[in-house]
Amino acid sequence: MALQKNHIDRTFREKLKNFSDPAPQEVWEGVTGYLIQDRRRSRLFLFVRIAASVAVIISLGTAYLLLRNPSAINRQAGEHTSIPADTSATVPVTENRQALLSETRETKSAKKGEEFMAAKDNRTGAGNNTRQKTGTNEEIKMSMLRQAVQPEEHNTQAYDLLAVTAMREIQGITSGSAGNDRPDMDRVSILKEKPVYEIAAPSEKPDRDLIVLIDENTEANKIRSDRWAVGTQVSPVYSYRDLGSSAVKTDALSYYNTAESGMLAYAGGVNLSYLTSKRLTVQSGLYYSRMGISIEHSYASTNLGPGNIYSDAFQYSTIANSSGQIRTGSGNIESYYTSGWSGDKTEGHSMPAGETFNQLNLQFNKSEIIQNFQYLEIPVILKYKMIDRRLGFNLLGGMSTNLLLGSNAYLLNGNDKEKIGRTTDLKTVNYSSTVGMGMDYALSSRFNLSLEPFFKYYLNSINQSADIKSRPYTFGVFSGISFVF
Amino acid sequence: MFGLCQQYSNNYDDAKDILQEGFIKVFQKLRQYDGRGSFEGWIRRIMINTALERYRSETHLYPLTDRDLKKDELIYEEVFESLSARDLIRLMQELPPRYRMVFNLYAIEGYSHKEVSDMLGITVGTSKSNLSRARQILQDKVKRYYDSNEHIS
Repeated sequence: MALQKNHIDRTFREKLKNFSDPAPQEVWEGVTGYLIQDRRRSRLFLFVRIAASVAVIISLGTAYLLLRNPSAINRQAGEHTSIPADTSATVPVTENRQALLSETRETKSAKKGEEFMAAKDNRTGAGNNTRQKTGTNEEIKMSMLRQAVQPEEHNTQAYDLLAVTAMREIQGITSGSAGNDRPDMDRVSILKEKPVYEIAAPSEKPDRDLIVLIDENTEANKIRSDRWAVGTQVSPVYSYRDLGSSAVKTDALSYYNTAESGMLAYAGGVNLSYLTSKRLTVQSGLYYSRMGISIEHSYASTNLGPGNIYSDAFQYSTIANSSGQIRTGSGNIESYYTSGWSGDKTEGHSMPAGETFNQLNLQFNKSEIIQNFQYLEIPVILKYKMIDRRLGFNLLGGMSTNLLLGSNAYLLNGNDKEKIGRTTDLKTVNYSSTVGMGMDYALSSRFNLSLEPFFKYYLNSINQSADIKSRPYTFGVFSGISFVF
Repeated sequence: MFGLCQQYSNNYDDAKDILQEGFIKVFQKLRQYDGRGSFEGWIRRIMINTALERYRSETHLYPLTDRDLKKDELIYEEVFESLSARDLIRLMQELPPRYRMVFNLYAIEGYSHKEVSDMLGITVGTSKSNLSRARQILQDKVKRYYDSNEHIS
């Protein structure tokens, strides 16, 4: 009756070779239902990808169009490097409006415009000479003022006077006696060899639109010179994940949502920004982000060893979780870790009660296993400035490429943290989207502080499992400082 | 294929799950079948891989009912021969998952211990010891049934 041991193998092989059992009807119904859902998801995902592509194209196109406008202004200004021929001199200018305003305060008591101008000339040492600048910002202002108020070339003097008046309004200079807002006719007389016209009553204020035009031109100057910024940011983050599953894995999914929880981590990096227009900024950089999952219902046994008849069957642990397989060191027969305990299948997954339990001559103690995922993030973010003040407010959104750097697993035992292995079956490249808002405060003309709450969501699953899809999300608040140049 | 899934599973419900997951993958990967080898063999490999993935993703503290495993146990040839295929599948479903997986891949599918160790992420020595224990457990179960004159059906 004795047999070679391999007779068992042959017996099983031969008897099972031709064994067939009809599949239950519900299996085919499940397959059909899943394939229909999968087709719908594919269509929706295709639509989302198309919509995202359109949004990116529109954003880039808008940025390009906005970027083109400052060049147009440059070209327009370049064509008017000096005031047209009928006026051969420029209005005296000052470099610094702020300085001028301070002068204005000092000389506000001056009764006559001549005294003011003389005092000013003495300070600048320019005597009676006016500084003439061609192709300067101030000449641009003048030419734009003229263009704005008078498209025709003839009869320019009256409009030049109006422009001068508008300039003085802006610069806060009043001339003449108190209560008399008539412009200083001596200044106007620098318009050589042309009769000086009586201008309208002082009650007619300069066109405010002209002032706005000048302000915008000043802003354009600022934009042209300070477009780049480099900065650094750090943020505490809370990370968790969104799970999706195939139809047959819904019980596993509900188990993972019970057994796992989010955790606090951090992110930080350096960024480079480019101001494409007055309100739109494109930012990229390099960030290090750390996130993870806590597997709270875990159990560890450390009394495996020689003599335990099950030790050689537990040469490595596979800890069930939603992210991927946690592989501890193979050949370590002293410790064994597990997450979840599958009892009777009819009851689903059931966790042993209490802090410890015994099974198979092994003492298991309740503990916590955490998975840390480390990524190198390369973001492309668009920021739109809603409020452009010293304390500004902006909206931001964009996408990032995330490169997996590490995926270690740790056992938490009180205050001790012990590395037990790493999570495998993770994708090395993932894509995420970010939305948020931000406040920035200009410390000076070069340095800005920023505070940016954000929400980041991974667009594709980080694991390679076909059954459980894990899409992490994080939210936090970036604080940082940047240098404008 | 349902019979194959029952060989690799703990019970009837698990076998249904493996079968459903496997056929979903068959439909999703249909374009990848390039005609090399038989179509049934291609589906069979997908089913086995599905069972392997499920095995890897689940951890079971499977209580071994036979603690006194003795080596060189007498093998009851006639008893094995008298068992039906369905009886043999039930015996296999009572094996611990690790032993059952090695027995299926080595004894039924014909993979070498090196190939089995690569597929399961274990050493060759562990594969051999698991196979040996699987055979011992199967013999022990058959012996009990034989000694108690109980029929498995």
